[in-house]
Amino acid sequence: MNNNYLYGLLGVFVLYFNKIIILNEKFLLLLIFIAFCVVVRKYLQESIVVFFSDLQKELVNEIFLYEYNIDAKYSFIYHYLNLDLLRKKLFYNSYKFYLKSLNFLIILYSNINLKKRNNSFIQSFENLVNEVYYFILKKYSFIKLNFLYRSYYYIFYKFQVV
Amino acid sequence: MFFDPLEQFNVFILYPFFIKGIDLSITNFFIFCFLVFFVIYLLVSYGVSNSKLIGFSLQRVVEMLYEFIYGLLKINLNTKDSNKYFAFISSVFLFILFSNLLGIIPYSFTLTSHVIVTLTFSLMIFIYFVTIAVVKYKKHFFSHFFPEGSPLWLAPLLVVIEIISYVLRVLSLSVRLFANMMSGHTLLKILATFGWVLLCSRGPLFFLSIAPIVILFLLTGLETGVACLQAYVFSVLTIIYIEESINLH
Repeated sequence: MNNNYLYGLLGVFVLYFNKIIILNEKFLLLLIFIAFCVVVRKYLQESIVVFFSDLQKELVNEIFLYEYNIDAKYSFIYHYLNLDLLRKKLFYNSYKFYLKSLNFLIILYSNINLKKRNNSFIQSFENLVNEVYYFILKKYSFIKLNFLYRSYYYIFYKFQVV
Repeated sequence: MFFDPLEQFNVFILYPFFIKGIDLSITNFFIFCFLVFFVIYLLVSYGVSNSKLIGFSLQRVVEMLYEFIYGLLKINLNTKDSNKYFAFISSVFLFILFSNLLGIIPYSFTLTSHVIVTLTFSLMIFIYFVTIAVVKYKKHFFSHFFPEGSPLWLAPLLVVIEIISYVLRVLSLSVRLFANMMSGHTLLKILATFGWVLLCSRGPLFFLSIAPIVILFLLTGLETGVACLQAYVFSVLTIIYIEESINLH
């Protein structure tokens, strides 16, 4: 239910049923307490969103600082392992498909690196993939990113195009 | 109709119940005691059951509480077997935390605003850490009351002072928690009464009611903070007293 409906219901309750409930300072205290809970909940939600967006920026920076380098994998894992247990879980829950996408990219990079590192076509293709991925990561939601990951996965990994 | 600011601390009988002349009546105190117990029980049991590596929200809360209490023990208790005291400290911490937090909800009852609760807690803790020290050090336990390197002629004075300060821990521990909770709740109630009077009045006074309401809102936040902080302080002091008993200094 929308919060506005709840407030409306509460208003109706106060106006029409004030004979049932004894309106006194305790009731005022209750209303303030409810308001406090609503504000805290909203604030907590916002702070969690800020936390994740900061984390996302940090990760994106870290990953793309090391692009074309196999070290990115280790750097990323290192970063992940350094998070405490709770954050790791929160992080993992929210970034499951992000991690999957990343895993795929790492697999893709590793394959390119191992097989055809000196192929200039692959190099430019790798650049292109990277650019598109980075662009989408910046611009669009993770749901779209997930879709992108699946497309990449089926085209390049499943059918061994690369 | 306005209530007395201290009315919220009244213990009243909901259901009179006697067994062979012993009063076992069900009071609001009894109900809230059980409520706190059940809230903790449900939180922990539900949080721990079906636990996964990547936990759900309630499991995270329980893990967070566990990590917090474990961290407290590890930092403050300078001993290898700090896990031994985990159950005791976590019980004390969770009970105080939840009774403080439940007490903030209007129309409820704050257990820790009664000195009998806090005094019982601190007396129990006092007996606990004295027993630890006596069992471990036996008669050397009394060396605790005479600081090392002090001149012998000062002994009669120092020992008396040390014993008084040692025993007064019971009072300081209990009064700190009880006074904080009681004063906070009384202040909230007084301000609510003030705000309500202004809100019910006509004319410009009605618009002035916004000030106590805003203050009340902020104070609710402060009280929530105090509720958590007091549980933390109580637990930390308990750990410090236990640590003193283990290492005798």
